[in-house]
Amino acid sequence: MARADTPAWRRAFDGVERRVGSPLESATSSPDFQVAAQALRNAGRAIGRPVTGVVSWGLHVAGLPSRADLRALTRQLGEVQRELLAIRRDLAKAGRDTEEAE
Amino acid sequence: MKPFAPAIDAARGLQREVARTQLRARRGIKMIARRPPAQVGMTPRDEVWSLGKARLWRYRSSEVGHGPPVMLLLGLVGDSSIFDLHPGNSWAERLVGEGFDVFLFDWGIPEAAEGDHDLETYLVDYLVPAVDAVRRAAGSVGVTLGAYCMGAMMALLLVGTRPNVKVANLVLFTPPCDFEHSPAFIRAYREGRIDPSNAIDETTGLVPANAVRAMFRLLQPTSELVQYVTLWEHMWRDDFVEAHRAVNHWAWNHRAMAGPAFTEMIKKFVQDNALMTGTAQVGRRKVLLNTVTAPTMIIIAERDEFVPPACSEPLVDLLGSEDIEILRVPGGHAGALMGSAARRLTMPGVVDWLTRHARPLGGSGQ
Repeated sequence: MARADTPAWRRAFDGVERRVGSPLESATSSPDFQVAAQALRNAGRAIGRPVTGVVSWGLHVAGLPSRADLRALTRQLGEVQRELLAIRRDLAKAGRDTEEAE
Repeated sequence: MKPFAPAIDAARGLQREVARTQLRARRGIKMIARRPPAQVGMTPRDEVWSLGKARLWRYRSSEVGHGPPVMLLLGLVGDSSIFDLHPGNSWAERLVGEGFDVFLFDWGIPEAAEGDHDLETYLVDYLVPAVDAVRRAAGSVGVTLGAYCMGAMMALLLVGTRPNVKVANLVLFTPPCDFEHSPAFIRAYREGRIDPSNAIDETTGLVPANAVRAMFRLLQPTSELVQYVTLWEHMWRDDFVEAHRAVNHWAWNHRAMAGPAFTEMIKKFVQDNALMTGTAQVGRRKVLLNTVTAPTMIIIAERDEFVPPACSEPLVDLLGSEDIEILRVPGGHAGALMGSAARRLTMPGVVDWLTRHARPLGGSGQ
């Protein structure tokens, strides 16, 4: 419910938003929309793959790292970080176990 | 009868709107030029524990009147600042003011290092030691867990699998339980029409933050625009801008989520509805909600768009506690925790419940 001092432009905006927003919400939050959005994303990836391949080849010819190389490096770095974090968690757990035993 | 009265009123309204628009424009330019960070988490606090990116803070208080200590936590994809949003709209500030020893737990913003975390990792390696850290810092046997949304579900998984973790009371804000009544934006996952692995970035092992944000946006696609229009409308007010920016900071500051935890959440809890069917497991341990006997308060938002009331209500029958209270508040998911309804109803209701379930300091804390 609009307050008495709500400006006219805001009341107009709210009116439009109510008319547009509600059906839009129903559409975007429906499973069909989400499945379609996912299919579009997958299609984008599939189309982008050969293009990325060609770009990567070009970059490699020029002696430059491609996006795929950076991702591979990030993945490897992530694995190292995971191992380090797992060790930290194990150490913390061992510390707690020792404290409890004492 | 004044025949010109409507025309005079309209002219006054126009004059007022012009003056306000001048102020709006000046403040808007200042905001865009400076881009100051949102002022959230202003209540004084100290870090008392950390592991990896997870942090535990204790709010400073010179007058802790009663226990057990209150540990606040959120789910994996939200910023814990919702509990300490803005002076005058802060759970931490209010609870400290009421004499509680208040702690805030944050899972941290995950990166590739956390990309292999499942729910058990989060519970066993982070939450259990954090609860212990609260007990040690406060010198208390038990802890009151105050958890919001997915955080409330994490709290339930913790107490349902580990009865040895000393949780004295549970305050569950909009806890999801029955995914038969899941919000529309995850229905495609619930129906198995989208595989959760599609959302995971294979480089980091995470569901990226922008994918999480997009999921929430689908539910209210115009909400961001409405927020900007609301900001413009009220920008002439001194007090509004800071409060709005704090809320906005929280509302759109979604975090990435570890892929294994996301997959587990979707497959076990959303698709199989494991909490309702009694088949829920974390690691090898069964989630036994009927063994949870801690006094529990459940806060339900009547117009919750993310966790509809019917999604939380069955908990009353599933929990083993004989002391369960439900607080129903009008408004939506976030409104239950912040905003005017929260200040008028949720905060006083929770403070009253906590006070009734508090123990004098020096007691057992359980």
